[in-house]
Amino acid sequence: MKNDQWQKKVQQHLDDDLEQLDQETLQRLQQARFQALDAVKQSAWRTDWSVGVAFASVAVIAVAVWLTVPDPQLNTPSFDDMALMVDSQTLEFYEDVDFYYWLAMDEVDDVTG
Amino acid sequence: MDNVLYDNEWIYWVNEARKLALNSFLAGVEKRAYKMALFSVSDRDEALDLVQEAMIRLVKKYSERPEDQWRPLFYRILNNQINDFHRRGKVRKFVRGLFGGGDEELQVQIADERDAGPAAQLGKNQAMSDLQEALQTLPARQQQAFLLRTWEGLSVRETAQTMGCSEGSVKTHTSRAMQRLQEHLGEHWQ
Repeated sequence: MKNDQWQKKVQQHLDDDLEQLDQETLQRLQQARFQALDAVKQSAWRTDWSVGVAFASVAVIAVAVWLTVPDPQLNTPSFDDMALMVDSQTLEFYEDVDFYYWLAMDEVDDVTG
Repeated sequence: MDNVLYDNEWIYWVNEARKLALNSFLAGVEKRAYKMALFSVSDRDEALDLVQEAMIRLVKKYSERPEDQWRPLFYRILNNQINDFHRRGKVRKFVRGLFGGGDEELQVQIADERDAGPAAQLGKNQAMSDLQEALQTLPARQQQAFLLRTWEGLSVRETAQTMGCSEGSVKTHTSRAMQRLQEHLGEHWQ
């Protein structure tokens, strides 16, 4: 089909153009990639004594909370909270709400030109 | 304590494996992403900054998502960065207008990274130069849809997720882009 051939031609030109990128641009792209990879979270826990201290602190706080008189209202999750806990997709949405807000603003701008 | 040491080592290797996978993914998309940004913003340094920012955001916020989501997520972030860039440009123009900045068009330099080369290469460069010029005449959404579908090879669904629009809109933008490009380039473009 004519359109398919034309699209393939466009792809070829664009791919060939990538091969012509200068060395400086390639190096900057590589640098950008390495800087981004530095942001990968290192979530390994420390193995020194601070782990024991952390556990002890949590235990103390847990006991303190358990010994206080509980608020009856806190023991009963609201209907909204339960719905949130059950629906993992909704939870995912709330985690990404700033991203979806950003996208929504983008769509508003498209509509208003 | 042995269990803690074992868990730490495991977590370390999981993170290293994720870094390797991210490196491979980003190395595969960085050049195309840069060119897509360059077509849109027509400024080399700005395009590089936009790509770097998109990489950092992907790694910081979405690196723990399944790998098959990285591509549409990355291009979604990049497209939003580009749209923000254009919005800031409109604000600057508006402010300049308020303070009597005049109607002068911003002079846009398109980075030409190709060598002169022999005649065949010159012909090819002319075709690419024409294509580049034609792509830059497209409205932003048409350009994005066309490049994501035709060059990056995203499906209609993935492109819709990337652009934050419906699949119908993707098809419309792509089809209109192709029509405009073919009209601009003419029948004899090779």
